[in-house]
Amino acid sequence: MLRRRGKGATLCNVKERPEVTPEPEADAKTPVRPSRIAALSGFGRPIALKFADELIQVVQSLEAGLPPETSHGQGAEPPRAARVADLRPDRAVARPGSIRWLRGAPDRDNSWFRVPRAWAGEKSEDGPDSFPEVTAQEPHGCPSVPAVPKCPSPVGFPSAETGDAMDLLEELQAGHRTAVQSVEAALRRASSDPFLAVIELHKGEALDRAEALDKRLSTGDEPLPLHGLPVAIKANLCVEDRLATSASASLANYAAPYTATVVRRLIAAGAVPIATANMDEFAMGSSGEHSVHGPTINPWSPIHDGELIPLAPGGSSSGTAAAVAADIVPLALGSDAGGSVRQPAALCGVTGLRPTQGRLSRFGLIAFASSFDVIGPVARSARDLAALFPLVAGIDPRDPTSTDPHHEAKRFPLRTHLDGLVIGVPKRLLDELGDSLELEVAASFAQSVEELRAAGARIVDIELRHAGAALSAYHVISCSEAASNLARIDGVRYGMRIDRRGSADNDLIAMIRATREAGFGTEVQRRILIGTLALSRDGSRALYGRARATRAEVTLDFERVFGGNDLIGAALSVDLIAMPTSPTVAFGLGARTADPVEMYRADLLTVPASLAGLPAISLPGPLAKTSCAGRSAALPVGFQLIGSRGSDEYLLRIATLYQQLTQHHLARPPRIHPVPPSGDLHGISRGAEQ
Amino acid sequence: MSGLWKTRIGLEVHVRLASRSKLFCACPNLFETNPNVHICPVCTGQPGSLPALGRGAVELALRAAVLFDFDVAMLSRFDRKHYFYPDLPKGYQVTQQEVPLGRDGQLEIEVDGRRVRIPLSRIHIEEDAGRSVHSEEHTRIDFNRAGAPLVEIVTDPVMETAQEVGAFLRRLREELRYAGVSDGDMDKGSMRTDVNISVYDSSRLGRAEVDAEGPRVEIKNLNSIRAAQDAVDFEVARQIQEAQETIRRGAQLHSITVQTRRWVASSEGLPGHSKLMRTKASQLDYRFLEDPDLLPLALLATDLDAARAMLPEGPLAMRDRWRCEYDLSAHDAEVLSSSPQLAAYFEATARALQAPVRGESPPARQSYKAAANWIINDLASLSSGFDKVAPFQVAALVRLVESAYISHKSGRLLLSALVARHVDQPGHDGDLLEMAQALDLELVNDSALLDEYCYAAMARREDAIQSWQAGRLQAADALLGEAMMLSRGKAAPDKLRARLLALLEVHDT
Ligand SMILES: [Zn+2]
Repeated sequence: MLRRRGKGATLCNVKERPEVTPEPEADAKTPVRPSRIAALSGFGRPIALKFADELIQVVQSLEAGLPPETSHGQGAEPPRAARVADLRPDRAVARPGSIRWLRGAPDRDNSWFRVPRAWAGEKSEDGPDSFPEVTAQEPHGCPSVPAVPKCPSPVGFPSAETGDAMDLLEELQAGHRTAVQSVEAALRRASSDPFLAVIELHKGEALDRAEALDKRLSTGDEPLPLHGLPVAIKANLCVEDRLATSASASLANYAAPYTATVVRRLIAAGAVPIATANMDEFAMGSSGEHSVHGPTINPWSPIHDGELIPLAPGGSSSGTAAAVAADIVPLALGSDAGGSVRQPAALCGVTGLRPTQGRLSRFGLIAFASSFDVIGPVARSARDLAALFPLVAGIDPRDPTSTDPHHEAKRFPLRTHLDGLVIGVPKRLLDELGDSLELEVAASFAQSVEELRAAGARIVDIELRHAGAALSAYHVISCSEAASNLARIDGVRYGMRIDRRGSADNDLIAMIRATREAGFGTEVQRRILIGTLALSRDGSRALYGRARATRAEVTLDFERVFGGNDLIGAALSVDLIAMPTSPTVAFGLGARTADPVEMYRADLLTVPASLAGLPAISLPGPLAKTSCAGRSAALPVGFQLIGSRGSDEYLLRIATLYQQLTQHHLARPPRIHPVPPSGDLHGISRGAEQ
Repeated sequence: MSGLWKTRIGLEVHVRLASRSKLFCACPNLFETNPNVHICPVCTGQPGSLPALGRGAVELALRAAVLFDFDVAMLSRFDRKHYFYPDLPKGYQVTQQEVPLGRDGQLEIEVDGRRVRIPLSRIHIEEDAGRSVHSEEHTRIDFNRAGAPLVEIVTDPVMETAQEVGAFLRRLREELRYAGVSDGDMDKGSMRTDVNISVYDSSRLGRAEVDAEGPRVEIKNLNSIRAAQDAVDFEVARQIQEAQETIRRGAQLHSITVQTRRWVASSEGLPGHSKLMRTKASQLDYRFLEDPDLLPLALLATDLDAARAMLPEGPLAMRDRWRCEYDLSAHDAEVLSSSPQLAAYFEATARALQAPVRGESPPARQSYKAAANWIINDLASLSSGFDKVAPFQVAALVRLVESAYISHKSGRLLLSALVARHVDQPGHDGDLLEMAQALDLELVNDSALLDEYCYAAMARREDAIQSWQAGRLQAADALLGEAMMLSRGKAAPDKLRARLLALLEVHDT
């Protein structure tokens, strides 16, 4: 249940909210009817009952978190629009049809896709109120998913790599190590992964690819830029014929029929996907615990008296960050909507980038919140990300929201030092966090800022006036988009289907409800309901409109700070903004699952950049000395640098310069001991997978 | 007591655009194939797929917008409309709810010779869903149609009769076909319409009050003009009956219940009727959301210019021009413009007539009429005549008959020969003169030879000459028949008559 934390506390922790004028009656809201919202969401009565109280509280909480409606409107004009001349040409490609996009085998004689007649009912989109109610039948038959190790054994976990991806690439390209050796080693580490960072190995294709790469090199061809580099791919990125579960039971048996553009580019550059990384279901979560495959464990989890005290790796790109932190792979792809790359990167002590919205194609990324979603890479160092970025960025005709990699970034000079760099710190925003910002995190961040200052950067105080309302705005918009995006998961064409064949109530609505109730985890159901409410006539449309307006304000705030706009008086123009990534260090597994509001607060500092679509990178700062179960432990702290639109390369350059000076990114979880690089690499055979 | 019943009818017409590919993917926009042949991850809504707007569909939509004088939005948006149905792959349909492509258009129709301007409130782009075919046990779904590009054109509720509805749909379809926007085939589903019908008592309610109340009953998915007209007639009667029953019961007369109904066409002796789908209590909540996967569509003035430049001459303008330029009758113009293909055929024939041939004078007005007659009366009745006879051949035929080189009757023979010969020799260039000679259809035009026939006839029919001299002028016909018979039907009739009359005059003196 969603609990409010004391009087006045809301989803976003703004201590001094502007006076909220009472909502005018003219809003004429129908009262929230949970059963109707559930029905619109494709859920039945059990879900309505389960979330009834919470739904009303969430709406109150979100409303309180948003500034009052000042001017009406949908926010600022979108920055880009499609021109007729640039649209996909009308060039139908004749090709044989492929029924494989659809569930089940086609008839031999004809290729009709068939569903039970009862599902179609009267040809009508029947009104939700006339949906027959279904009584839940527990338990629902759930497709089997990989077993979860109950207690991961941290003992004897091997690590082969000491450096970052660039170090490994140097060896590979010089021929000191073959692609097959590198991939075999990564597969071996992945197969003994005790953290559940990866959920499926791509053994066969990975070794085939590595062999082809070695062959290519032996024929004297130039090595590809990422020749033989093993990578892990988050489970919401489509790789042809590989499970793309998004860590959801609803897609537990869904093999993607095509490969995501960014993954295709990565493979074309010579990288070898070796495993699918765990995540929070449909990228909704900040702890890595909401996965049908089981929770990922933070590799930094301390061991006391031989017993592991499991910490959460953060989320939703939990497996991505943990796989890099645990040295399974030097580089992995995740995705970031509200902080899903940056927050786990911070909690796992690795470097994670959220690129400018549109720089990386979203084609093949299973959507959570389309207007926030970006694919984000994670590595041990910023220089790895800088090497990777140009290889995967760029316009993709399959994603019309993708943008030109060059024209926006032109005006940023490539720096060779930090001298004279102007870095803004939103001091008031951080002050307002109060207790929410852990002291250890604040101290680590202060030290990072000092390091930047010592390196010649000028630190200035900036104000992001609307950042306090960002979290509520983010939740309203992202839940609305999620409810819409997940409407396609209805059990009809692919994925899980709970079908009570033969039963009298086996109509479409009953099937959809049973499937979605069993297929989606609690957090996903919660957010779908919030999103449906925000868009329905029951919930005020004003909620969605206000969130959009807030988003536009946050974007303007950033523009003022970066552009030196005289709207705020002094001609202030910062190069970058610095702030902590997560208000806390890694927390205990399960510590927050009971309190979604507390969980949402993990995104407090990452959502502002998400709302504005800006590039942001999370870098490891000095470790925090904290106590864990009464014992002292050193845990990673991340801080983020936020750049203006399109300044990704610049941002990566600055981050690289910082890491050259400080070396915090070299810290490793204490128990992961490097083993000699040319050691036993023959543990992997090409047997059947898993 | 019975009210003064008036009716207000508005239409929502869905038109499938004739673009080559679907709206958001590169799949061919084709349906008359096996099911589920033209599908891909995008149009089956696979997770992770994204829509990419196609230019062809947008250009056709824009052409439709300028065709009907819409105010085109330079920045329009795409929204998602949510509901669950097995043939709706994404759980939402992409449409343009908030900012449509165009507002405030118009179309002029003709009813009983009176021209009526129908205001069109909006035109927007949207995608089609899949096609469901129901059988006893299964519903079979074909996703070839999913993602096909549509425009929806919405009229103001200004029509009052089924006749107006029919006239509107025919005019709309004709304009769309001429502009190449859509094939408009209602039986193939290329054009479907929903009808809004509100019957009200004009003695009780003013126009403004009716406007404020909004439409009462919507009838969905009518897939022929006939069905639309039948549905209007049925529904008007049904609503009046409902209102009268309310009055008879002595209850306060309220407006007709807002509801959505479905038309069931007549079959097996059952008359067509509408069937209730849902009432206001359960009207849908579509939770519209601006589609975050699609950028707003921004138009430039040049896009509009290009769309206007692509507009061919419309059927109305064409008929007017034909009537004044070619002197065609209203009926002929109507028939020849019944399809853009036929109109183009006639136009090509007219152009071929205008082409100067062997120093002949430009064609007389009746030449065009003759061409129209050949096309309407003869060519149309020959199977695939339009494919086998080229417009320049029709023009040549008109010239041969006009110059009395062959008879009208021989002209028909020649046409049939052309069609038959086309089969024998595809690609045959068909010099009609040569063919006429080969078939021995040539008429005798030589005066000396014609005089021979006349003298011979006169020698045989002294009696006729005497009758003629006695003032019975029709006796000349008997002589003419005799002369024609002597020529074995090959004398040019007009010339033969002229010669005969001249000789009779001479004989007389
Ligand atoms: Zn397609």
